[in-house]
Amino acid sequence: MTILDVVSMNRQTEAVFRRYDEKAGACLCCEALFEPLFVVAFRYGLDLNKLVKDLGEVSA
Amino acid sequence: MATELDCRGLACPAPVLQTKEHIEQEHPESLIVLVDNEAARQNVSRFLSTQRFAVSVEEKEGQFRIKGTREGRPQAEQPAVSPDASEKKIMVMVATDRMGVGDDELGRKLLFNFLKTLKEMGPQLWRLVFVNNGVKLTIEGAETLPILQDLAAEGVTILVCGTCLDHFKLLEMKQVGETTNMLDIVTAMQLADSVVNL
Repeated sequence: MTILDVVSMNRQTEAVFRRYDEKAGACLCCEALFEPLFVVAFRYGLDLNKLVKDLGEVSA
Repeated sequence: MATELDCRGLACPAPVLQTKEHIEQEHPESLIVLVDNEAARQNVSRFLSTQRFAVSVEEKEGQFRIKGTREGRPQAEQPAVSPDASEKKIMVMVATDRMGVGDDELGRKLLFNFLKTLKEMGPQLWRLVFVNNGVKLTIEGAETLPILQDLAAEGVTILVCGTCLDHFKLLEMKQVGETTNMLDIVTAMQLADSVVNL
């Protein structure tokens, strides 16, 4: 599932990705919109489990 | 008449989301999207391509006018084109780094020659997808890399499975094509007229 897939399903997840921008050192929605989440986590050194958990919390 | 979406002043991913929403609701034959930054230009252009729109971009003073036109259908704004063989879209999926079973060295040579000869398909070669061991043909140092880079330069869309690259720990070594996921691959299969599996 890509960032685009996630934000398309729930616009509230945009805020989650923006919170991760600082840690990633990049605008994730700008540079990695079409990348699967696991690629995003690997490339930008993010904790995938935490990212998915945070995304899940806004979707609940 | 193409609808115009003014997405200037919107932060990513809003331009892509608006474009997506418009396409899903209106099913336009063509549309124009206005954006004011390079990231939006790239993302909207890429999204339109995945939705089977031919994309052209005009830039003026930092503003981009992205025009998308449905591929393969007659358009009022385009010259009439009679359907011909060049509209056929062939997808080739390469799931291995050798062709056939029996002798691995022969198999690697055969696959090398196969990829080298693929350009003979001309414009019908639409997508070249690499999964499993096939992803090893797209990385730094691969003998096949120059061939694939030439195909990409000629406009062939090359997709490389991200799950597979990650499995082999080759994510950062990919040198050609876009890292993709199974959704893109399945969608490409659905849109292709023919799928060749290796």
